[in-house]
Amino acid sequence: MAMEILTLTIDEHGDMTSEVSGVVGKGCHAIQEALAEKLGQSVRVEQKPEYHQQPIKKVAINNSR
Amino acid sequence: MSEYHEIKTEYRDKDELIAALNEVGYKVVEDHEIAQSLYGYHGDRRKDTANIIVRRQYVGSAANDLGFIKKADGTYGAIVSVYDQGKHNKTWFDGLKKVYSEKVGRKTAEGLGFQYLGEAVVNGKKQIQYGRVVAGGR
Repeated sequence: MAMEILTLTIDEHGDMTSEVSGVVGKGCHAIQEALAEKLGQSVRVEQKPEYHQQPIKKVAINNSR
Repeated sequence: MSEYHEIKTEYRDKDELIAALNEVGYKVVEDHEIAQSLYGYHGDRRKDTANIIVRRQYVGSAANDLGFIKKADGTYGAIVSVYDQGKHNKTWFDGLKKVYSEKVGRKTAEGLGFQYLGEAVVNGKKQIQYGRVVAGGR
Protein backbone atom coordinates (compact mmCIF):
# COMPACT_ATOMS: atom_id res chain seq x y z
CA MET A 1 0.00 0.00 0.00
CA ALA A 2 1.23 3.49 -0.78
CA MET A 3 -0.02 6.90 0.26
CA GLU A 4 -0.54 9.81 -2.08
CA ILE A 5 -0.38 13.17 -0.35
CA LEU A 6 -2.12 16.29 -1.58
CA THR A 7 -1.08 19.53 0.14
CA LEU A 8 -3.14 22.64 -0.40
CA THR A 9 -1.69 25.97 0.69
CA ILE A 10 -3.95 29.00 0.80
CA ASP A 11 -2.22 32.36 0.81
CA GLU A 12 -3.31 35.66 2.37
CA HIS A 13 -5.29 36.57 -0.77
CA GLY A 14 -7.16 33.28 -0.94
CA ASP A 15 -5.17 31.93 -3.87
CA MET A 16 -4.07 28.34 -3.69
CA THR A 17 -0.98 26.30 -4.33
CA SER A 18 -1.31 22.56 -4.56
CA GLU A 19 1.39 19.94 -4.39
CA VAL A 20 0.98 16.26 -4.98
CA SER A 21 3.50 13.74 -3.73
CA GLY A 22 3.68 10.01 -3.90
CA VAL A 23 2.12 9.84 -7.34
CA VAL A 24 4.39 8.55 -10.04
CA GLY A 25 3.83 9.54 -13.64
CA LYS A 26 0.98 11.65 -14.97
CA GLY A 27 -1.58 10.58 -12.37
CA CYS A 28 -0.78 13.74 -10.43
CA HIS A 29 -1.74 15.86 -13.42
CA ALA A 30 -5.33 14.58 -13.28
CA ILE A 31 -5.54 15.63 -9.63
CA GLN A 32 -4.16 19.09 -10.37
CA GLU A 33 -6.45 19.52 -13.37
CA ALA A 34 -9.51 18.70 -11.26
CA LEU A 35 -8.48 21.36 -8.75
CA ALA A 36 -7.80 23.98 -11.40
CA GLU A 37 -11.15 23.24 -13.05
CA LYS A 38 -13.02 23.87 -9.81
CA LEU A 39 -10.93 26.71 -8.47
CA GLY A 40 -9.60 28.85 -11.25
CA GLN A 41 -6.72 29.44 -13.57
CA SER A 42 -3.39 27.74 -13.12
CA VAL A 43 -0.84 30.49 -13.19
CA ARG A 44 2.22 28.31 -12.69
CA VAL A 45 2.91 24.62 -13.07
CA GLU A 46 6.15 22.96 -12.06
CA GLN A 47 6.75 19.32 -12.74
CA LYS A 48 9.06 17.42 -10.44
CA PRO A 49 11.28 14.50 -11.53
CA GLU A 50 8.71 11.89 -10.46
CA TYR A 51 6.31 13.23 -13.08
CA HIS A 52 8.47 11.71 -15.81
CA GLN A 53 8.78 8.31 -14.14
CA GLN A 54 6.75 5.37 -15.24
CA PRO A 55 4.68 3.57 -12.64
CA ILE A 56 6.21 0.25 -11.67
CA LYS A 57 3.86 -2.61 -12.30
CA LYS A 58 4.00 -5.36 -9.73
CA VAL A 59 3.83 -8.79 -11.21
CA ALA A 60 3.24 -11.82 -9.08
CA ILE A 61 5.67 -14.54 -9.94
CA ASN A 62 4.97 -18.06 -8.91
CA ASN A 63 8.31 -19.83 -8.82
CA SER A 64 7.25 -22.80 -6.82
CA ARG A 65 7.69 -26.01 -8.68
CA MET B 1 6.90 15.76 -5.39
CA SER B 2 5.49 15.18 -8.78
CA GLU B 3 3.74 18.38 -9.66
CA TYR B 4 3.16 21.80 -8.21
CA HIS B 5 0.33 24.12 -9.26
CA GLU B 6 -0.31 27.72 -8.37
CA ILE B 7 -3.95 28.61 -8.92
CA LYS B 8 -5.51 32.06 -9.07
CA THR B 9 -8.83 31.44 -7.36
CA GLU B 10 -12.03 32.35 -9.13
CA TYR B 11 -15.58 31.86 -7.91
CA ARG B 12 -16.85 28.96 -10.00
CA ASP B 13 -18.71 26.78 -7.53
CA LYS B 14 -22.00 28.44 -6.61
CA ASP B 15 -22.78 26.18 -3.64
CA GLU B 16 -19.37 26.72 -2.06
CA LEU B 17 -19.58 30.47 -2.68
CA ILE B 18 -22.89 30.56 -0.80
CA ALA B 19 -21.40 28.38 1.97
CA ALA B 20 -18.42 30.76 2.20
CA LEU B 21 -20.76 33.76 2.46
CA ASN B 22 -22.61 31.94 5.26
CA GLU B 23 -19.35 31.30 7.06
CA VAL B 24 -18.23 34.94 6.93
CA GLY B 25 -21.51 35.94 8.54
CA TYR B 26 -24.18 36.23 5.86
CA LYS B 27 -26.62 33.51 6.86
CA VAL B 28 -29.36 34.58 4.43
CA VAL B 29 -28.20 34.37 0.82
CA GLU B 30 -30.48 34.32 -2.21
CA ASP B 31 -29.67 32.03 -5.13
CA HIS B 32 -31.35 32.86 -8.46
CA GLU B 33 -31.02 31.04 -11.77
CA ILE B 34 -32.07 34.27 -13.48
CA ALA B 35 -30.27 37.37 -12.25
CA GLN B 36 -32.44 39.66 -10.11
CA SER B 37 -32.28 43.37 -9.41
CA LEU B 38 -30.15 44.76 -6.63
CA TYR B 39 -31.53 47.47 -4.36
CA GLY B 40 -29.88 50.46 -2.78
CA TYR B 41 -30.13 51.46 0.86
CA HIS B 42 -33.13 53.70 0.15
CA GLY B 43 -34.94 50.74 -1.36
CA ASP B 44 -34.26 52.06 -4.84
CA ARG B 45 -33.88 49.49 -7.58
CA ARG B 46 -30.45 49.68 -9.14
CA LYS B 47 -29.57 48.87 -12.72
CA ASP B 48 -27.30 46.02 -11.57
CA THR B 49 -28.55 42.46 -11.35
CA ALA B 50 -27.06 39.39 -9.66
CA ASN B 51 -27.62 35.65 -9.26
CA ILE B 52 -26.36 35.37 -5.71
CA ILE B 53 -27.57 38.16 -3.46
CA VAL B 54 -27.16 39.23 0.14
CA ARG B 55 -29.96 41.74 0.72
CA ARG B 56 -29.09 45.03 2.33
CA GLN B 57 -30.90 44.31 5.62
CA TYR B 58 -28.42 41.46 6.20
CA VAL B 59 -25.39 43.45 5.09
CA GLY B 60 -25.76 46.12 7.75
CA SER B 61 -27.37 49.43 8.50
CA ALA B 62 -27.69 51.82 5.57
CA ALA B 63 -26.14 49.29 3.21
CA ASN B 64 -26.86 48.30 -0.38
CA ASP B 65 -27.41 44.75 -1.62
CA LEU B 66 -24.26 42.71 -2.25
CA GLY B 67 -24.41 40.56 -5.36
CA PHE B 68 -22.51 38.08 -7.48
CA ILE B 69 -23.34 37.87 -11.17
CA LYS B 70 -22.72 34.73 -13.20
CA LYS B 71 -20.58 35.61 -16.19
CA ALA B 72 -20.45 33.97 -19.61
CA ASP B 73 -17.37 31.93 -18.62
CA GLY B 74 -19.22 30.42 -15.65
CA THR B 75 -17.38 32.42 -12.99
CA TYR B 76 -19.11 34.74 -10.52
CA GLY B 77 -18.11 38.37 -10.23
CA ALA B 78 -18.92 40.55 -7.22
CA ILE B 79 -21.07 43.64 -7.49
CA VAL B 80 -20.45 46.04 -4.63
CA SER B 81 -21.75 49.57 -4.44
CA VAL B 82 -19.15 52.30 -4.01
CA TYR B 83 -20.91 53.14 -0.74
CA ASP B 84 -20.18 49.69 0.71
CA GLN B 85 -16.59 49.40 -0.42
CA GLY B 86 -15.45 50.45 3.03
CA LYS B 87 -16.83 47.21 4.43
CA HIS B 88 -16.53 44.99 1.37
CA ASN B 89 -12.98 46.00 0.62
CA LYS B 90 -10.05 43.93 -0.61
CA THR B 91 -9.34 42.58 2.87
CA TRP B 92 -12.93 41.39 3.20
CA PHE B 93 -12.84 39.75 -0.24
CA ASP B 94 -9.48 38.13 0.52
CA GLY B 95 -11.11 36.61 3.63
CA LEU B 96 -14.08 35.36 1.63
CA LYS B 97 -11.79 33.86 -1.00
CA LYS B 98 -9.74 32.05 1.64
CA VAL B 99 -12.86 30.40 3.03
CA TYR B 100 -14.09 29.61 -0.49
CA SER B 101 -10.74 28.13 -1.60
CA GLU B 102 -10.60 25.90 1.45
CA LYS B 103 -14.13 24.63 0.88
CA VAL B 104 -13.61 23.95 -2.82
CA GLY B 105 -10.23 22.36 -2.11
CA ARG B 106 -11.78 20.00 0.42
CA LYS B 107 -14.73 19.16 -1.83
CA THR B 108 -12.44 18.43 -4.78
CA ALA B 109 -9.97 16.41 -2.70
CA GLU B 110 -12.72 14.30 -1.15
CA GLY B 111 -14.30 13.83 -4.57
CA LEU B 112 -11.01 12.32 -5.71
CA GLY B 113 -10.97 9.91 -2.77
CA PHE B 114 -8.58 11.85 -0.52
CA GLN B 115 -9.16 12.08 3.22
CA TYR B 116 -8.35 15.01 5.45
CA LEU B 117 -5.13 14.44 7.40
CA GLY B 118 -4.58 17.75 9.15
CA GLU B 119 -3.67 21.39 8.80
CA ALA B 120 -1.13 23.93 10.00
CA VAL B 121 -0.23 27.56 9.47
CA VAL B 122 3.16 27.86 7.76
CA ASN B 123 4.63 31.33 7.16
CA GLY B 124 1.19 32.84 7.65
CA LYS B 125 -0.40 30.56 5.05
CA LYS B 126 -2.87 27.81 5.83
CA GLN B 127 -1.62 24.42 4.72
CA ILE B 128 -4.05 21.52 4.55
CA GLN B 129 -3.04 17.93 3.86
CA TYR B 130 -5.09 15.13 2.39
CA GLY B 131 -4.06 11.54 1.85
CA ARG B 132 -5.18 8.72 -0.38
CA VAL B 133 -4.12 5.13 -0.02
CA VAL B 134 -3.45 3.39 -3.28
CA ALA B 135 -3.08 -0.29 -3.83
CA GLY B 136 0.30 -1.59 -4.84
CA GLY B 137 3.68 0.04 -4.50
CA ARG B 138 5.67 2.40 -6.54
